[in-house]
Amino acid sequence: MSWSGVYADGISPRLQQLDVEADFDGLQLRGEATREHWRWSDILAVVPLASGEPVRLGHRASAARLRIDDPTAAVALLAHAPSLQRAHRVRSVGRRFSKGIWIRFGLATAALVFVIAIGPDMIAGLMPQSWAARIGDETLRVLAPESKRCTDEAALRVARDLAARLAPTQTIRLEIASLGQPNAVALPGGRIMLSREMVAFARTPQEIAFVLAHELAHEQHNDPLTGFVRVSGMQVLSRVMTGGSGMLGNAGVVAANAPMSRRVEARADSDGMRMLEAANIRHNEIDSFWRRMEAQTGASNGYLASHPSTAARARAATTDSQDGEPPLDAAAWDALKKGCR
Amino acid sequence: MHDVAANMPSGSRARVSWYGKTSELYALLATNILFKILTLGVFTFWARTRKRRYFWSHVEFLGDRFEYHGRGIELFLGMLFVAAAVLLPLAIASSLLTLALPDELKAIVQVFYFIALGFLTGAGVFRAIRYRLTRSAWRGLRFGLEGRAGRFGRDYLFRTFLMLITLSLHRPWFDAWYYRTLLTSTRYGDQHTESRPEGGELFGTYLVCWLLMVPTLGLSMAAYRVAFLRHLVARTTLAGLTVSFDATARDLIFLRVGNFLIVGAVLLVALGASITWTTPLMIGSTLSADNKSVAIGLIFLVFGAIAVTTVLPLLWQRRMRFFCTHFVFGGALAVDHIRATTSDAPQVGEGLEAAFDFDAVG
Ligand SMILES: [Zn+2]
Repeated sequence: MSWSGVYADGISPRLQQLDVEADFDGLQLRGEATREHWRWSDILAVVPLASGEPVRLGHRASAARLRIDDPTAAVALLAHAPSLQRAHRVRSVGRRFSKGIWIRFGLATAALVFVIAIGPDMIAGLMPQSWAARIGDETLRVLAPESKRCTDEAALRVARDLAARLAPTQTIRLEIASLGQPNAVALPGGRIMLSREMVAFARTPQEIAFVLAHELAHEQHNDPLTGFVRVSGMQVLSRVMTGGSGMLGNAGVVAANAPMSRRVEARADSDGMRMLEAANIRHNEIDSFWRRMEAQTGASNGYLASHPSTAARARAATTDSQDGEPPLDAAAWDALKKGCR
Repeated sequence: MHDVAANMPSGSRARVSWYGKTSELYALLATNILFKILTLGVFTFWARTRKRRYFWSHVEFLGDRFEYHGRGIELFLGMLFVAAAVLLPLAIASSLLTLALPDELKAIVQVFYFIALGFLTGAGVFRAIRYRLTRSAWRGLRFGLEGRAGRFGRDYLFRTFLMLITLSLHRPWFDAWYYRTLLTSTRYGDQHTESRPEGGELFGTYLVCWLLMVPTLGLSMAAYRVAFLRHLVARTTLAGLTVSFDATARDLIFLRVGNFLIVGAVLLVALGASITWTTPLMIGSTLSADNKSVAIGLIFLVFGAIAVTTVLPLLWQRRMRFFCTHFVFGGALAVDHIRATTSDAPQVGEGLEAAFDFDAVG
């Protein structure tokens, strides 16, 4: 079989007309100034061969190109070399990486892993208290602007006194504000936000005391600041891994952060209980609090959840002990409920 | 056009042809998105490479197709290096500055940011174009870009600053500088492109378009764009090839308004769908009003992204057809003066450009 072909030698873009003949070994190229033999195993498809289309070939060892415009050529060549159905990476540019690239790869990976794995604890530990407080205040302002905050002096005093009893050595700034759902958040620098909805949701002072103890335990371990640094670092990493595609990248951050976050939450639960014991505050009926919470907000479960499942938290909190004093007397409880619900 | 002996004789005219098929573009897009979702986005670099390979190999000039030789791993490593060496230090430095400085000095961080971003955007554009050119070939010969990314970044920063203080009146000089620098640095084989656009010659046209910008809702800029492209190509040659651009401002406005209508139509459908879909959900739910609007917003965002994605191949087709129809090449490619080069190409690429979401050849 033979066709007329157009050939460029890979050194100049000048085209030469030549005869192309297929034999058992490969293609024989015969032109005025060119006489070459391309073996089948050396021939690459610049564009995947398709029946009826011009054939565009390259050679493994050079940048030469061969085009056969005859529409019957593709089928005939595919019979000899079926791999030409796929496009190949042609050799002229595709090169191996040098050693330096792999050293840089190692360094860059180390830097990024540090940011995610070891960095947050270290950086959070080294950060001056005033900086942490600044981040905390900024977040507080975004989360709950002044207009959404509870300003009832008596109610705030009740909640702040309770926090001080639970963690006498910590500097805490507690605020109560509307957050849209029963919740509480620990922020960097000892800032804690309790939601009005949580005050309304709680049926006993024990429940409020437990929620506060949980957040105070977070503060004791510097969890909020560590989490802040970790998520910031992960956002940089997710940008790298995804070339900046936002939604998927954020899903990645959530997925990567979840296991760590669940561990931290479980620790805050158990340390919170210990805190209640140490302050001699009664802490029964916490499991029923979790069950009611689940009924209201739906179960939180699975790998992506940032908190342990509510069922697991209820199990961990089961105790019948009637030891200890009630966290608040009736008057204080009333003041809190009336002032900031 | 396929005259082999002379490789396009002098006096003849040739166009670049686009052979991309809409159905294949949809298949390409669908598989890319699927793999991106499965890999939580990491496939992006390989997706971009597949897309370019398709586009390059379906553009034909004088009978031969363009070739793209880039690899996904090169883009991935490029991004990784930029993150570790540039983005991470920048993020740390700026957050430290924000935390350490008192409120009155916060403006310093803004200035620092502007300088860093301006410089990095310019340098990133240069590096991205160099990467793409060194990965592009035609008839087996590579393209390339000479020059220094740092110098381009510095000038880019300076001219961006001029644009700001002149309320964009500096634009014609900016554009002339931008394309002159990039084009004269571009080479095919060992032949450099020659390009001599002059911003001053376009200032009159620009000023009129600039004054008409508000009453025409920005459409007047299409006239400047077309005038600039014509001026640019008339003053650009590559190894004996001359170029002209034969579109009118009306053609460009049709292209843009058409794209706008296509995107607008599917976004309207998406809005309608997200409202019907969320209404029953909203009526029976205990969510607060704030959370409801956030939920509707999020659902619309997802629906909108899906909707725009479904028309992307149409927009690509329109753009490729537009540019392939309107650029006309004349003169003769001086094939005997062009030789392949062996000069070095960067091993990894494009991190900066990708980091700042800046597409220079859009
Ligand atoms: Zn917690």
